[in-house]
Amino acid sequence: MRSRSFWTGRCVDPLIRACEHCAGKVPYFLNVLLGSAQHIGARREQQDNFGFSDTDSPFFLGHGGVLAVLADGMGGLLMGGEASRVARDALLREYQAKEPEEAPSEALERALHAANVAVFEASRQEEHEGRIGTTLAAAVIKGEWLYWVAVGDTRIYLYRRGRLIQVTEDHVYAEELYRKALKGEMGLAQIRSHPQKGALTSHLGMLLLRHVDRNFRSFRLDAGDRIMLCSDGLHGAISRQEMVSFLGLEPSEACERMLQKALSKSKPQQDNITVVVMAYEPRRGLG
Amino acid sequence: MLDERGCWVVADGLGGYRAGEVASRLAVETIVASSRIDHEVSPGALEKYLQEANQTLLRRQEEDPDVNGMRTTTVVLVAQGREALWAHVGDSRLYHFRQGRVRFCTIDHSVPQSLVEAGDILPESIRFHSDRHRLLRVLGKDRRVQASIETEKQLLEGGDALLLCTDGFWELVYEAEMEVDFVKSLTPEDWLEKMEIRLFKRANGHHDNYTAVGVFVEE
Repeated sequence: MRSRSFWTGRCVDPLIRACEHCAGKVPYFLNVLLGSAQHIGARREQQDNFGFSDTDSPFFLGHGGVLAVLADGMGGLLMGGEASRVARDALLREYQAKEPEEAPSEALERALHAANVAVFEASRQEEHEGRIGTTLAAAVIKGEWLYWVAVGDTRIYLYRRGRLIQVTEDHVYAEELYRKALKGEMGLAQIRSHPQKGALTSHLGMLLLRHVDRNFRSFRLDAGDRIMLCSDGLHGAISRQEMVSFLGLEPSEACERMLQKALSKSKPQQDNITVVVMAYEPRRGLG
Repeated sequence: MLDERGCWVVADGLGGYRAGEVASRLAVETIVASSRIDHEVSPGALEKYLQEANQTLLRRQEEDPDVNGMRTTTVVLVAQGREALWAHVGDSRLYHFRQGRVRFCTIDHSVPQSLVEAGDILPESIRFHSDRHRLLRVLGKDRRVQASIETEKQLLEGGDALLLCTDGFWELVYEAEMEVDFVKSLTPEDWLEKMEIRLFKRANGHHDNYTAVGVFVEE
């Protein structure tokens, strides 16, 4: 199990860092607190991989903000752990290569497609073309703005003033069935008992991404908002009420408590669990 | 809607199955017809449309005892170019979004809203309040209807959005969800579909009637 508080900077106050470009005269203000927790569950391999962009470069923080990424390799396919690692690494590498002029949303889009190509290339090298895959969710907070991309069933949630809402739509077959049910073409009970309801309808490693959940316009955050990324090992194990009960805590503690809650259910087939929380706290540390 | 003018209306009928249906349809038809005759983005014009709709409902109730007691809420948006104005009666709402966030929402004429004003409950509690369907103002009841009309013309900006909806819709879609789905959508149709899916799942098949109209202001 891994859980860590992200702040390891050299500065006195973890939220205020001296900017290298202004020789420490202007404090660069970091507005995001990060937390994460991960567990293998009852599986043999950890197929979830997550990471953050470099938060030690004030220059990059200034134009790229803070990025969190989580990928969940598909166990049914080959090399799930490899797929999510390749996707995460490619996404982080591409996003870090962002130039100051490039908008975060464009860099994120570019990084997502690079991650997709990287997974596809990895499958070709292993002669499993198109047969390895991973989900991926990535979120960027830059200033007061949130940007995200997500493919598959790794979710992004927004916790705001005690209420939790799901930001991303799962790319699973059940969502297509809900659209049919909405038109009266099938009943809700049929969806719940459908054997294929959880089948992914989009994932990285397909040459063309069928669905991408993303924002086309900037999304403005409120102070205190929390963005949570989690694999289905978490959202399949604990309820929204349980998530809400922990999300007001410090991000690293919130992640740890949600992980423990999921493990306490002792599900026999418990999937890998990964949870990442980004807390938008622009006023913290300014006194 | 840059050079065009428009009028958007949503109404939610009350008073028995058929009567409610007649009330909301009559209100929408009357308001749309009035706005076609003298389209003007002014509080006076909106006042006129709503009084005419009220009169139409009252007359119909006198003529037809079957629909006696029919009432309706309504929310109206009129716009010309960048100028917009709105009015409402009851608990059908208009939301105005700017930069992806709710900038304004009409204030319901309902019992729970008055409890909010009295400081007895929080605005978030309106959705779940047992008296949420008790309205304080409606069309079709009194000789003159007391509508809430925006007094100043609102200047719309590119990227703004407006949502007109009945309580069956806003009770089951949270404001943060409206905002998230808005930034994910390229067209009003996408936006409404995303919110409708949320409503549908949350209601678990037990939702009331609902109506929503989405308007995007071009960039």
